[in-house]
Amino acid sequence: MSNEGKSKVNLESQDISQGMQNIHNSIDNFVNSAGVEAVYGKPIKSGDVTIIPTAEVFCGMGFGLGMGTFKPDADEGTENPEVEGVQEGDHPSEGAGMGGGGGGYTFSRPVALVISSPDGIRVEPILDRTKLIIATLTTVGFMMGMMGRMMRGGR
Amino acid sequence: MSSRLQIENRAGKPIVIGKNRITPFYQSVGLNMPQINGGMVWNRPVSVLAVNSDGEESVIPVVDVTRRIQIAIFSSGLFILMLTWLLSRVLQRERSE
Repeated sequence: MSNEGKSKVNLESQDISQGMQNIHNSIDNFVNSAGVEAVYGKPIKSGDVTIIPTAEVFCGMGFGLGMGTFKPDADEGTENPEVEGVQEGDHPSEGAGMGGGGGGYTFSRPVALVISSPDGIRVEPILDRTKLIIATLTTVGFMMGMMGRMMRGGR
Repeated sequence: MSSRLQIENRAGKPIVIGKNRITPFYQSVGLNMPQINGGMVWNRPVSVLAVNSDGEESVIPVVDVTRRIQIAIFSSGLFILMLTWLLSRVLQRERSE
């Protein structure tokens, strides 16, 4: 490998380690976003009453990196000799490339309110009606489907 | 490289409201999957430790009512389904006899 090629590979490995560092920093930030500050919100004051909202927080993420190098065989010529400036028998130069991608998902749902008043501290649960309606419809749909299959099987 | 599941209860910073002090506790479930370069974190509130002006301590659980009702709906659906299946089997046997 030529000196130019070696320095190119060194630069690429530096890029990769830099990229990995950035990804790890992103993961740390992402995980910290689901910390106690997200679970217990900032206290909200209203007269004598202070409310602290609580929520469940879920976050997930994944990423991928890949790289490849191209080194032509010594006896391999250009595949397309008609390209301008390239003559038949020319050897294409070495090449390398890298790419990566990632994705994440964060979900938060209110669970309860911690209420501090002159009477004391109490916890009031929050009922998510939409989730309950979806759960009921899903269960009823699943039950009807399974019962239908049972009835067809019984005949 | 293997998956790493971590479940731990953690305490947050105490919050002082007037003469009351509230210490929040939450459960953290973390799954690290190095094989697929990913992971997940699930945090949910568990309880609060309340200390009033007299110094009395009380632990108040943070109940997720929505989750409990959801589980109850799914469980009752499965239970009814199993009961129906058992009844249909018994009826089939009686008919065949």
